[in-house]
Amino acid sequence: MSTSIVLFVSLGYIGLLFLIAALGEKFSKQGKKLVRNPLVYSLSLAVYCTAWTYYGSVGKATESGLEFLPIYLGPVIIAPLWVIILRKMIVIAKSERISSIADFVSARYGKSAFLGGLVSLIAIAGTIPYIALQLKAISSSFSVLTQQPGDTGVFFSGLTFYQDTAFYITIFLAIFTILFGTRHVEVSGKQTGLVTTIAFESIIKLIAFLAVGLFVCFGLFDSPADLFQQANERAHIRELWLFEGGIGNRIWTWLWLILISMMAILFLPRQFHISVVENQKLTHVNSAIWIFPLYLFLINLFVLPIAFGGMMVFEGQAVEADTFVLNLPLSQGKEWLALLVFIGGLSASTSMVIVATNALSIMASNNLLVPLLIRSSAALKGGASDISGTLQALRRLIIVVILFLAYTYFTSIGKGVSLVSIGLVSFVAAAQFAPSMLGGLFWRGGNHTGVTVGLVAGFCIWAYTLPIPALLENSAFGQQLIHEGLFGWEVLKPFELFGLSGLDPISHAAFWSLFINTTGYIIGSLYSKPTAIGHAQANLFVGIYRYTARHNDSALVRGKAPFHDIRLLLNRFLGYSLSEEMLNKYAARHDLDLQKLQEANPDLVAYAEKLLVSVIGSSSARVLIGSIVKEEPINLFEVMNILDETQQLMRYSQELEQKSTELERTSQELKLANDKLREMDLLKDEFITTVTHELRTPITSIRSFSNILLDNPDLEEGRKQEFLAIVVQESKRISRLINQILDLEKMESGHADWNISEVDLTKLIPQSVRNLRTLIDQNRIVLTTGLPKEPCIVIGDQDRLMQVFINLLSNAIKFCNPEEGEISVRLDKQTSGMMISVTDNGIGISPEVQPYIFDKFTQFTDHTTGRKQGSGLGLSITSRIVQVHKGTIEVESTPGQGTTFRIYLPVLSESQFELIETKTTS
Amino acid sequence: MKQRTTARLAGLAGLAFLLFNFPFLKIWGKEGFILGIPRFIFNIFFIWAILMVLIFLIARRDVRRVPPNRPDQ
Repeated sequence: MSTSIVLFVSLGYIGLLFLIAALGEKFSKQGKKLVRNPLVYSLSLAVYCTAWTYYGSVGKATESGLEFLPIYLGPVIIAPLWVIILRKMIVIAKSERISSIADFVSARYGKSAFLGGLVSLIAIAGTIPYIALQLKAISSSFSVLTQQPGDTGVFFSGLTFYQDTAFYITIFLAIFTILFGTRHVEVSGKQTGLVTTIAFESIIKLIAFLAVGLFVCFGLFDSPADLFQQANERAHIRELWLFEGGIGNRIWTWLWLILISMMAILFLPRQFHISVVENQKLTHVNSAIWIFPLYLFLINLFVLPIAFGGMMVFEGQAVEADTFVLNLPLSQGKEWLALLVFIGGLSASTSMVIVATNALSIMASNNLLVPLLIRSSAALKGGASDISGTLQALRRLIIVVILFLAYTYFTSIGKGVSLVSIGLVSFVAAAQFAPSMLGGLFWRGGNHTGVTVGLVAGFCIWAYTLPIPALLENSAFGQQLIHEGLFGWEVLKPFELFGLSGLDPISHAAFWSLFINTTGYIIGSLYSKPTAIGHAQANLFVGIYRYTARHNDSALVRGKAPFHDIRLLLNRFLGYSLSEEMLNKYAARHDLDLQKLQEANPDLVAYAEKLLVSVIGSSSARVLIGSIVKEEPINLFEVMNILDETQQLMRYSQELEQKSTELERTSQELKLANDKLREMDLLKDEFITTVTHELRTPITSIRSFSNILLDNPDLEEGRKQEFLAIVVQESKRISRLINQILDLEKMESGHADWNISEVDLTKLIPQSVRNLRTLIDQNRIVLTTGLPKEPCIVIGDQDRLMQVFINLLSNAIKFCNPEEGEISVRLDKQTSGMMISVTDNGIGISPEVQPYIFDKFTQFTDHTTGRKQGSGLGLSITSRIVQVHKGTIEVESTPGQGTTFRIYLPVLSESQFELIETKTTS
Repeated sequence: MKQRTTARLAGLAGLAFLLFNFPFLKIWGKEGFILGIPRFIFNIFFIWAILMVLIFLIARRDVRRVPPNRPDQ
């Protein structure tokens, strides 16, 4: 096909791209869904499929069968995880106005300018081989199609550059990219024209590739089955689709290709640009996770048929497998199909070059050149009033530099190198960002030092094991390096580093660089401290959903600045019209009058910083804003204030604690009191029940006997007398009981009257005995008393003490041995008091009952009759009286042998007695 | 996106990683043909297709449950 037709069609196609870009921008401004939908987003992600996929996969497949696939399986595997990783990156990038992966790393690790520069350098170095690959593909395909020297696709490096197609292609691409990519100064998420074009190119390359695939399967052969059937007859093809002997021998390579492509799909600079920076809507990710795998599925479906078809068609001919896609239609005279294929390949290459150089130019200008620019005083004080023009010029310059570096790489590498092996070098470089990026997203502990150590080490190993040996391969030094190692040290052989042999160069480099990178990142982070701003950014990035949920403003530079300075800064870096537009927007939203505004508040300062970030990246923006913001240093007074506040807080919390302990104690006391009250309430109920019961018994008998007397007036007199006696007796019992109860209650409530006087016990005891003499005699009891000769005086209430003795004696009489009753009463004078004991020889009290006998209503059961005796109040009253006299009462008893009650009464003075009394009543 | 959907997708990613690696590859890569296509090739693309359908179904389920006029994040 003639060169002029190819050139004409190519230029026409490029013109179409510009048209689409312009339309895309127009539609986007009108808010049409055509350009802002998940399908466009997913298709633009297919910038992943470059000339490598388009031409290189077939070449790779002819060498090692399915081994071209892991590069696409990796993205398919990780696609479902985008809803976690990619989503988070997008949310952060949107809220922080991040415009490149270098910005991202720099912002995450303390807005460090150094890291931004480092990442930019790695990204550029890593991408250059990849762009070289595109140059090679375009020039080879151009040569093949126009059947120029080198029509087999092998590049002839013997030509000088002005005879070289690739050189002109480079110039052409530079112009195209500059015209295309650097139309706007502000870059975050604004290039809808670019995205639309990329999506369009993705469709073209897919259609073209599917067309060749269908042509091979159904034009050259009857059906895919027919194709594979014929291929099956050739042993060298058949072994390509078997696991054993093929992939089975290189499972490590397979695994590493999957791993690095999983990282590359997220962290290749151009993928980051399209998937994160140019993302229009977060929910587009939810659709991309299946549309993108579908795209990859389709574009890979015919790779093997084309490869095997080519191997059969060109059997025995020296046709480079990387050009099968183009040569197959040509060999059958299908020139128009070949032209379509060429356009498809051009789409694949140009889309990659546009996006990659665009992303790299933004990255490099923001992180490498702007920091230098703003450090030169001219940018800040006077000089050019509008730096946005300078910025654009810088970006264009960077594009040119990058493309020519790629051209140089392309001319330097060996001529037999396949497309895939060049591309994989870039993949391993992009994978170096994975530890810092993933760590930055999910691990707060990752810090600046860790990233620096990890990235520098990983990058050095990558360079030493991949591009350096590739570039030096043809030199004597290179050969020596590869076969003997640096300085002749075997452990430093670039393809067998530290003695690790048996891996292919890519897996080998990926393993060592990522291992050392990750280890360096983790250890460096663990053994160093982040800066204050690094710490804050770590919290912001890792916990981004919390921050975006609360408020949009997450800028960390806090302070006021003269509005004039802010305005001037924005005018310089964004250009006058854009910056005024943005300021007016802000003013409208916040009801500000820009004409009168003297000082920019922290919110406006943060807004300005974000605008600057979108143009020059976070680290440079911080430097610029920092130079005009009045960030007052914290003085001693403020520190003292803060400390004071803290102290107050601590004191307050201590007080609170104390109060809470007090409260706890009070509540405990209240609880105890409540328990006691309940117990007493229970006791009272019990008391009333018992009293009622005790009263009812005599009343019942009084009533029944009175009834008999009333109903039978003619009852004989003897009986009458008997019944009346019972009534009288029972009435007495009632009144006694009531008296006792009243007595006890009086004593317990402290209302009892005590007649204090000197009491001579030697007189009182015989008096008590005399009162009971009749009863004693009736029961034929022998009573002995042992009293001292001299008087035994105590202070107390004579009547009450008499009651004590009478109670004890009547109990003794009641429970005495009914046949041969014996009671002895003794009084002994002791050092500080008197001991009175009353002993009987009665039935005794069982040990179980002994503890309760002084309680109210504890009645003694007469074991012989089984009846209860007494009111159950006598001993209770006795014990109470003794207590009031500060004495003690105790019982000693053996069942069946008798009981002894011992009362000890101390000798008190009158005042002491009163004291006790008041005490007991209180 | 719902927590549960995210977890399902993450699980699917893990499964995909296993299915596309050794030792599963050894099972997929046996000799023979399915519908005229070499087993290895057929199996890999077949699993790939199933995977896409599963991702689609899981993601769509989530979308369907969201009220239509909920503002996007």
